[in-house]
Amino acid sequence: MAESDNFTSTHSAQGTYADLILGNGRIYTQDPANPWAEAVAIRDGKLIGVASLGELETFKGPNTVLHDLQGAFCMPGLHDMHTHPDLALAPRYSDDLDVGIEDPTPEQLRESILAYADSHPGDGWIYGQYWVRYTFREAGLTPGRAWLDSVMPDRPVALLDRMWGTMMVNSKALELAGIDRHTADPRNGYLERDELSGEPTGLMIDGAYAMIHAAMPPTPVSVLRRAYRDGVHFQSSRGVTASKYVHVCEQRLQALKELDDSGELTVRIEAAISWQDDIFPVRRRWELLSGERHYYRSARLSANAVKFHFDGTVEPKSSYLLTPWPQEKSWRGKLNLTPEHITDMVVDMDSKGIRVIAHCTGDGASDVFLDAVAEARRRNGFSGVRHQCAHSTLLHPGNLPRFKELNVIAEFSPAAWYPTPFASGARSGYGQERLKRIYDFKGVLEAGGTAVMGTDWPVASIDPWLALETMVTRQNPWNDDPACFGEPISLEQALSVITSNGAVAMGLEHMTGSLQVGKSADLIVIDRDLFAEPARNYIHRTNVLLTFVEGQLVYDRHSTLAPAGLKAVWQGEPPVLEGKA
Amino acid sequence: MDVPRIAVTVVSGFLGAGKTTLLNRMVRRAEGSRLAVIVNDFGELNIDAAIVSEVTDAVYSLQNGCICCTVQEDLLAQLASLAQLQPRLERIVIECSGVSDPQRIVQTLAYPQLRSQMQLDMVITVVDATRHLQLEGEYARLARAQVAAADLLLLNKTDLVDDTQLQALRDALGVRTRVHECVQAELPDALWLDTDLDLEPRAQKPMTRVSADDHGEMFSSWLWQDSTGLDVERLRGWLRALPGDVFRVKGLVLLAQGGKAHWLQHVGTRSQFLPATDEALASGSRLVFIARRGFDGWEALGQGLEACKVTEEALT
Repeated sequence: MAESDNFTSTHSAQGTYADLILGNGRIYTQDPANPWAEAVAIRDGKLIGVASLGELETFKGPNTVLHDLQGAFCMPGLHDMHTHPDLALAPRYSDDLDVGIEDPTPEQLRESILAYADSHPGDGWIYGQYWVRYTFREAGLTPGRAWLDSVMPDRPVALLDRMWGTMMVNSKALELAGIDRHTADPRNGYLERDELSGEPTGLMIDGAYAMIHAAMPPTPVSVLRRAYRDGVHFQSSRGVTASKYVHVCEQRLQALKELDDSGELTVRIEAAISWQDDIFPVRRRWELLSGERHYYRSARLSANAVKFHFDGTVEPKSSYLLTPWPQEKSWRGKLNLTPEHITDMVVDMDSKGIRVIAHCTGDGASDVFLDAVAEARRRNGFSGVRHQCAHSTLLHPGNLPRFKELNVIAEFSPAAWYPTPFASGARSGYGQERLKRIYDFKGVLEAGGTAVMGTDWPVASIDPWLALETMVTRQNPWNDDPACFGEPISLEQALSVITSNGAVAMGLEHMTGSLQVGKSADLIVIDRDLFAEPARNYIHRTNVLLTFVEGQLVYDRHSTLAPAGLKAVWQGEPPVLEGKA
Repeated sequence: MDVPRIAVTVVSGFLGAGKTTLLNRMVRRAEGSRLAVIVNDFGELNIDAAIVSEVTDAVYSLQNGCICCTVQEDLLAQLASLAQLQPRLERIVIECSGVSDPQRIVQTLAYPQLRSQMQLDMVITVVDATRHLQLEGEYARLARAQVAAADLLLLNKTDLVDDTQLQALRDALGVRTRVHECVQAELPDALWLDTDLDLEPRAQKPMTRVSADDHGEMFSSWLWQDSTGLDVERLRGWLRALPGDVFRVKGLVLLAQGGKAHWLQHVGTRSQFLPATDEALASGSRLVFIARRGFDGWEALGQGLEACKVTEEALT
C-alpha cells in the first residue's frame, strides 16, 4: 500500500516525542550561538533539539529511535551549488552509435553505420561518434553528405569527428534540420559549403552542430533519469544534501520529477532553466519561465532559476576581461550577449522571482553582470532573489564589496583553484598577476559577501570533499608540491562556504545550512574529525557514514540503522562515476 | 578590380622536424613583401628586431600552448585584426604546434568573418625522414593527421637516410600527396610563393612554356589559355586526377555554366574557386602550372583541359 502524504501545515497534528535522537556525537552545528553539541533530536523532519544528550531526554518517547554516534563527527549537509550530472552521464547511457575504433577507415565507418541501422530499425536518427578526416584523405575520399548518402540515403545521420571540430551529416539530416544553401551561418561556427553552388557539403563546423541537434529528438527522459539518479546517489553518499543542476530543459525537469515521485531524489535540487540552445535545445523555455516550472515543484525540487553563459573560458581566451589578455594588444575576450540584453533579462527575471545564474569567468563579464543586478535593484527594489555569479574565476578587486551590497552570490568552481598539470597549463593563460587573485574566496568573504562552491562536474570532480580540502590548502591534494594557487581560507570559513552559505544561495537559509532548532534535519555523520589533522591529503579522504535530508535517512554506508527499522534509500560504498570512460 | 585576399600558409610538423628552420627561411625570403608570422614560441625564431621591422611586418606569438584544441577565438581575432593592417598584408604564415592537427587551423580560416579577407594558400607539413616511420601510438596518429592535412609534404633530412629508407617513406606517405625531398628544410620559392605565376597572355599556342629551363631551376611552369567555357564538373574531375609532379595550378577559368570567370587555385589535391568580379576577365581562361622539372605530361594536361570545354551546341 502506498504511504500516506504527511505534509505539515499550521494546524496539522504534532507528536510530542522525537522520531530519532542521535547522541554522543561531536556535532559541529554551524550555529554561532551554539557551535558544538552532543546530540540532536528530530521530529517530522525537523530539528527539535540540538544540545547535550541529557537536555534532550524529555523528547525521548516509547517510539523514539536512539542512535549512539560513538563520538563521530556530525555536521550540516554539504551544498554543491553548480554541477551537471546529466551532461556527464547521459552521453554514456544513451544508445548512440559508438564506432569504437580509434581511427576508423571509411569502410569501417560504413560497416558500423549499417550495423547500427540493422540493430535499430526504423527511420530514426543515427547519431554518434567518431570519424577522423585523415583516413578519408588516405582513402582518396571526401567526407561529407555525398559520402554519407552513399552509405545511408534515407535515414538522418550525424557523426562527430574525434577532434570535436566537425560534425558530418547526410542530406536527410540537413533536410530535417531545414538547412540548405540559403541558411545563414551561426555566430560561433559555420556550414562548409561548395564554393560554386553554396550548397552545404554536410560538414558542420563548431557551433553549427546546434542546428542539427535542434532537429534531433531530445535525449530520452529515461536516459536523463538514470543520469540524475546516479548523480544524486553519489552526492547523497558523499554528504551533499542540496545542489544546483544548472542548465535544464523540460525533459530534464521531467526526469527529476520522476525521481522525486519515486522517492529517489535524495538531494534538494535547484534546477536552472537553460537560456541557450547550444548545449541542448530547450523547447519549452518560455512556458517554463512564465510559470510551467511550478509543475515540478516540491520540497526537493525547484526550478526558479535560469542559467546563462555570459562569456567563454580561459583556454580559447574567450573569457571576457576588463583589460587585454597577456601578450595581446587589444583582445579582451568575448561577451556572448550585449550588456543591454543582460540588463533587460536580469531585471525581468528578477521581477518574476527567478534567480539568474550567470557564467562569468572573466572579470569583465562579472562586472557587466553586477551592473545589471544593480539596475534590477534600482528598478525592482530587493526582490528577495539573490542572483549568482557562476565560476567567478577572475573578479575585479573593486567588485568584491558589491556581492554584499547587491546581494549576489559569488560561486567558485574548483576546476583550477589548485595546481594540477591541467590547471597549471590552462590557467597560466591568464598571466601571473591574474593567477594570484584567481577564485578569490577570501576577497569576497572579507568584504562580507556570500561565497559558495560548485563542483561543475564534469569540468572538475563531483566529489565535494576534494573541493573542501583545496579551499583550505589551494594546493594539489595528492602530492607534496608546495605550489599554491590563489589565497587559502580557514577550515571554519570553508565549512561555512559549503554549508550555511550554500543554504543562502538556495534561498533556504531559514530551513537548512546549520543545525538549529526549527530547521530541517539536513545533516551528515562522517568518519573523521575535520579539525583533528592538517587539511592536506586528509579532508578529501573523508568517508560519509550517514546522510539525512528532511530527517529522512537517505544514505547509510554500513546499514547501521537498519536494525532500528530505518532503511536508507542508498547504502554501501558510493558509486564510482569518475575515472571511467 | 578584385582585392586580392591575403594568402595564408600553414606550417605543421613534429617537434624537431625542421619547422623553425623553415620559418626562418620564409622570414628571410619574404624580404620586401608584406608578411606576418604567427608562431607558438617567439623565442625560437632566429630574427632580431631590426630584421623583424624591415623584413616582416609582424611576428605574433600564441603562448597558450597547443593551438589546435579549442575554438580559435583568439586566432580568429588576431587574423581579423591582421587583415585590417594598412598597407595590406600579402601573406600570413601560421606555425602549428608540433602536437597539433593543422585541420583545426584550416577550419578556423574558413570562418565566415575571415573568408572574404584571406584565403588558405597551402598547408606545408615538414616530415622528419629520420623519425617519421618510428612514431607510435597517438604520435603516429597525429603524424598521419598532419600528413593528410598537407598540400605539400616537405620531406626533410633526406641526407640522413639511405635509399631503402627513403623509398619506404615515399611508400608510407602515399601517392596522393605532393612530396618535396630536401635537407635543412630548404623550400624552393616556386612551391610557396606565387611570384612566378605570370598570367600575361602569350602566343597563340594553348600550352606555352613560361619558365626558362636552363638555370638550374627545379621547377618549370607552363601557361594554358583558351576562350571557351569549361564544364565545372569535368574540370573538377581533371583537377582530381592531376599527376603528382604538378604542384600548383593557378589562374582564371571561364566556367560554361553561368559564363562567369573564377579565380582557380589548386595546390596539392585541393582546389579553390573564387568568383572574379572584374568583367574584363571574363574573356577566357588562363592557367599557370608549376611542375617538377623534367615533367613531360604537358600535352596530356592540355588534352585533358580541351576535353573540359563546352561547345556552343552543348550549351543550347
